[in-house]
Amino acid sequence: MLAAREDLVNKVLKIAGRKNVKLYGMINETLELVIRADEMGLSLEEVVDQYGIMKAARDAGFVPVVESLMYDIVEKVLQRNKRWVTKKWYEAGQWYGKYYSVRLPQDPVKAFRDDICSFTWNVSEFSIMENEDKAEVMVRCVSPRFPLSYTTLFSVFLEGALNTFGYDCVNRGVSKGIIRLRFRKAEAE
Amino acid sequence: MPKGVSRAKKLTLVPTDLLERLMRISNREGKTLYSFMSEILEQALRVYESRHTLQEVVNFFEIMETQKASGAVITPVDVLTYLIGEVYPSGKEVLCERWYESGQWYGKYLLDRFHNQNQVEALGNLLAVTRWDLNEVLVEEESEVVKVRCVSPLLPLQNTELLVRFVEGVMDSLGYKVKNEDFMRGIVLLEFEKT
Repeated sequence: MLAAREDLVNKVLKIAGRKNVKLYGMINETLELVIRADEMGLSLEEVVDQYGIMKAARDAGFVPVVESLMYDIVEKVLQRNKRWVTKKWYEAGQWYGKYYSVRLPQDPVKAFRDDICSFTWNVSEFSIMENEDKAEVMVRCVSPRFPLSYTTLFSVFLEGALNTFGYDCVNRGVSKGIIRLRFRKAEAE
Repeated sequence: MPKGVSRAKKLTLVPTDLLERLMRISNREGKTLYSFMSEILEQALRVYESRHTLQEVVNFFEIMETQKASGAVITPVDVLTYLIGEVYPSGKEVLCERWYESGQWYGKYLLDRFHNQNQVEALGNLLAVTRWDLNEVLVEEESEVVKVRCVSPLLPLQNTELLVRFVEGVMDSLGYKVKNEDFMRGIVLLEFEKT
C-alpha cells in the first residue's frame, strides 16, 4: 500500500472511471512509465514538458528533418539563388514573428525565445536577451555543426522574426556556426 | 493551503516490485515517497486532463530522443518545401539519391538503437510521431512482407517522392527490398519483402 494525496487520487479515480479502467491498473501503468522515464535519465515532469515543447513545434508548423539533408539542400539552393532563398527565410521569420505576436501578444519575444531555444537542440549556445527597458535585444547562437550557408539563413530567419516584433538590426556578425545580432526598438513613425 | 495543515491521504495498492523501484528513485532524489507520489500524480493528471495518455507522452518522448540523437534539425515546413521545390526540377536524381542514402543510414541507426526490438515497428512509430505533416501512417508487417502507407493531402509530389526514397533506404538497411511501389502527390503505397 502506498499513501498519496486524497484529492489527487480522487481525480485519477474519476479519469479511470471515465476510461473504464480500474484505479489499480491506472496507477500501476503510471508508475511503470515513471520508471521508464527514469531509465531514460528523466523525471516524468521533464518528459511531459518536452512533450509540450514538441507539440508546440508541431502546432507552429515545424518539422524535424535529417540535419545533413537540410544542410545539403540549403547549400545547393544558396549557390543557385542566394537572393531568393534569403528572402524566403526572412519571410518565414516574419511569419513566425506574426505567429508569436498572436500567441502571446503581451510578450511575443519571450514566446518566440522559449520555443526557438527548445527547438534548436543541435545548437550549443542560444540566447535571445532583452535589456531591462526592452529597447535592445541581443541574439547569440553558437553551433559548430552549422555550415556557413545554414548559419546565414538562420540569422535571416531570426532577423525576420525580430523585425516583426518591432526591432531593427543595428549590428550583425555572422560567421560559420556563430551568429551575433543586436537589435534596437524601431522608432515609431 | 496554510502551512502546517496536512492534506488528507488515501492508500492505493501498488505491486511490491514497483514500490521498491519507486523508493529507490525517491531516495536518490532526496524526496519522501509521499511527496514523490504526489508529484507523479500531478504530472499524470496534467497529461490526462489535456486528453492524452502518459503512454503516448513517454512513447513520443522516446521517439523524439531517437530523432535528436540521429541528428535531426527542426525546420519550418514551408521553408523545407520551398528548398526542395527549388532544387528538385533540375536536381531530382541527386536529391533522391541523398534521401535514399540518408534512409539507409537511418535504417542502420534503427538496427543499432532498437537492436532488441522490432525495427520495422520502430520505423512505423518514428514516421507516425515525427512526420506530423502526414495525416496517416501505417507500417504493417505480415509474413515477411511489410506494407507502408502514408497519406497527406498537402504533401507536394517532390516531397512525396523523397519520402518514398527515404523509406526505401531505411528498409534496405533493415533487409527488405521493394516489391511494389506506388505513389502520387500526397499518397505513398509501398510493399517490401525480406531479401
